[in-house]
Amino acid sequence: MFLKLIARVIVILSSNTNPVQIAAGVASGLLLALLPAGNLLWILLFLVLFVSKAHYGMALVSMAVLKLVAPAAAVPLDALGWTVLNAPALRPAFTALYGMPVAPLTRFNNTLVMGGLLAGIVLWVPAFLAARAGVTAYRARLAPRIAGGKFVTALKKVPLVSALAKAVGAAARIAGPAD
Amino acid sequence: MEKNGKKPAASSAEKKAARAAASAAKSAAKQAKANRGYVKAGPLVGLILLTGGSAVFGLVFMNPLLERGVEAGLEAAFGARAEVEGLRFRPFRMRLSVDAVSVADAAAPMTDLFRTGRLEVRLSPSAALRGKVYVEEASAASIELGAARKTSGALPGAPEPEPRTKRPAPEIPALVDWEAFDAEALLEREKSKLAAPAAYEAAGKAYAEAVDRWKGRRETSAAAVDKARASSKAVLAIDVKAIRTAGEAARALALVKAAAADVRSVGTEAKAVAEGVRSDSAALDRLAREARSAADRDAAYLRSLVTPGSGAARAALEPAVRALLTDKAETGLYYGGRFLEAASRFRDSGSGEAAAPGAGTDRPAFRGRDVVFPGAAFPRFRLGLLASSFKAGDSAWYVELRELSSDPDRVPGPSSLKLEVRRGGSLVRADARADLRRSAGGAWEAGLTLAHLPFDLGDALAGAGLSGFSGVLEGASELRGGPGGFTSVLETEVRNPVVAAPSGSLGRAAADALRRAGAVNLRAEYEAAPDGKDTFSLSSDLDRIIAAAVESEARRYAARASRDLDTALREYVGRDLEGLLAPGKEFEVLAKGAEGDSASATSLEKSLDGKQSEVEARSKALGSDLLKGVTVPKIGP
Repeated sequence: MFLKLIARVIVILSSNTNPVQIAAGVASGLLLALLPAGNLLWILLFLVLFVSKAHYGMALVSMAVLKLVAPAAAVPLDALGWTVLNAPALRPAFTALYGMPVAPLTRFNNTLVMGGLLAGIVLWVPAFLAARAGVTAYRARLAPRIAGGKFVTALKKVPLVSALAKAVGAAARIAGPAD
Repeated sequence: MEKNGKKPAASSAEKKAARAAASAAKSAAKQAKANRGYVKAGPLVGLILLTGGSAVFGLVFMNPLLERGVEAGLEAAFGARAEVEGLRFRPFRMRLSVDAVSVADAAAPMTDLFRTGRLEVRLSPSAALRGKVYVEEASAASIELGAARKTSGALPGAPEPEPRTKRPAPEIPALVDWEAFDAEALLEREKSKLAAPAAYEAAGKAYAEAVDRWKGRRETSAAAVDKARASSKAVLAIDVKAIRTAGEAARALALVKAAAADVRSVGTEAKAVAEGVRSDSAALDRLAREARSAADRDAAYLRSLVTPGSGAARAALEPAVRALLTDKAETGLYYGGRFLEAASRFRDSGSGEAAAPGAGTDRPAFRGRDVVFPGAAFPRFRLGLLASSFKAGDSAWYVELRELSSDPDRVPGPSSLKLEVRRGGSLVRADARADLRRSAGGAWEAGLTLAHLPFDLGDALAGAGLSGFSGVLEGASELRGGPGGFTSVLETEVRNPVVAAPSGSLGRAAADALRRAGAVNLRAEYEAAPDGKDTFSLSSDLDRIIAAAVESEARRYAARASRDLDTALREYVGRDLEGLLAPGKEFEVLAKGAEGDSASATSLEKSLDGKQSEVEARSKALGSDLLKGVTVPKIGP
């Protein structure tokens, strides 16, 4: 399962998929990971991701990985959310929003939701740029070197890596050119 | 040939390569086409289908899920198992109906705290769009309290509730039957209520303790005084005139001083003992006086039992009325308390004050804090009105519960409960309000109105000769309270009082007097203090009515009965209680002895002081004789 996940990531990185879509997927996964689930905001963002051209496979992978480390960021996110929600300048706007229909269902008044949303939005652009640069660099430099390198050739003989290579092949066949 | 032979092969390979290139180009073109734009059409259609499917799934499984959700909410609020049957939610009309709701009593799991019949609920769509539950109006076909359950309603892991113990029936003091009056028997019956026995016992014990405390010390002191007196005899016998030299005078003076020092030390102890005994004696005498005055008070109390109008009838009535009121009030207060507790839990769950980071380590994950903004239209849960009008047996019930909320500060008024029970011509109406706003500190008040309510004490007053005391109650009660305690005042009139089976002369006289009076007024006050020291007082014109009715007879019987009782009590005190003060005599002897020791030591001290003065005078005289004829040289310039 875990091997297939790694394989799928390698396939995605090596495929013809636009790096912009992959990067958008990674950045959106970060945003969804920082935002607590179970509220309308999260569902809306997920739906937007679902229908957008951002690579949702990559988004799901990055969200799953980042969700594991998100609890470590809970305290600073809570502090950020608390600061913003209690900012006197923003209070009238939040008060009006709180009284509107549907808006409270987003749970924007929760410190973790607000903190996660803000942190996710702020980090979206750097994460997008970093991921796009990373994918481009991987495809241009790293992938050919890795594929033809002696080390990789030797490594392929290791049973675990051999299994990984097979999984990559299988994933590539299943994914096809669309990925 | 070879070339010709190779040509077709090369052509085939080229064709294959061309086909592959064409395929790759086609694939790339397809991919490039797919990468254009920002929205995928396929997933969008899929999403629409998924949303539609979810909606259908929700509609099918929504009711069981909601049912379980409501049950969980009720279980959290009442701390006991809740069952919701036949819940149907119509989201487009925002209507909800439930066939039955029952919530077990956490304190008595084999009974239901309440059970309702069919419930029709109208929800606020505006609140629902804001993620809140606002029950604008609910009506219940019936409400039943305290119904028995077939299975336990305790939640798994809930602590075993303490069983509610039934109060023992109160002891009703009998009214005196003058015709067969027995002073000794009455005294015997009332002995446990008299103050004198305890006062005498306390005084006797205090005397005995004082004797124990001082006896040994006084004996030691007396022995020391005797010893000092004996040893001083030789010193006191010194003939001062027989002293001829300064040396003899110095020796005699040393002996006198040593004896005086001994006597002073002994005297100090003797005086301390006498002083201590004197001080205790004052306190002990006060205790003895109090014991005797307690006997006087007891005599007055016993006389009051045979004197109509002195409060005896009220005293007889008080425990029975208190028990009756307590039983009825306890039931009401019990249910009131349970609902108040549930309302408080609702409040505590919905204030939006979630745990701070790091707090609540038992939680699986930190869920952040909800910031509640002012002016929000709806609390998390609000029950605007729950009304129920139904018949149970031959009683017509009306229940109206208003403004139960998870955030009482956000609703326009305090929580209120109106309850009306009509049966025949009688009416019981309760109107309770609980202000659960944090600024109000959980204050509550309730008013109770009783009209034409049949009232029957049954055999509760049989011991007082008033068996079958009944009438019709008219009155009102007010209760006010807060966390921990409450006060209540009940003012009622018992109309048409009847004693069905009076017994004894006073019982019969009382029955006649009550029938003629036509009404008895009762005022009861009860205060439940947080420290458990509850007070109850009852005032009534029952004594006045009875006293007026039996006045002439009372004069004749009461005077004689009072005398007999007084005599019996004095005999009892002299025979059984005065003996308890016996250690007092021993203490008196001890006190006199201590005073004697002190006086003796003082006298001896004075004698030795006198002897010392004599020896000193003799010494001075001998010194002057020696210096006669000696010229003392002048000192100085």
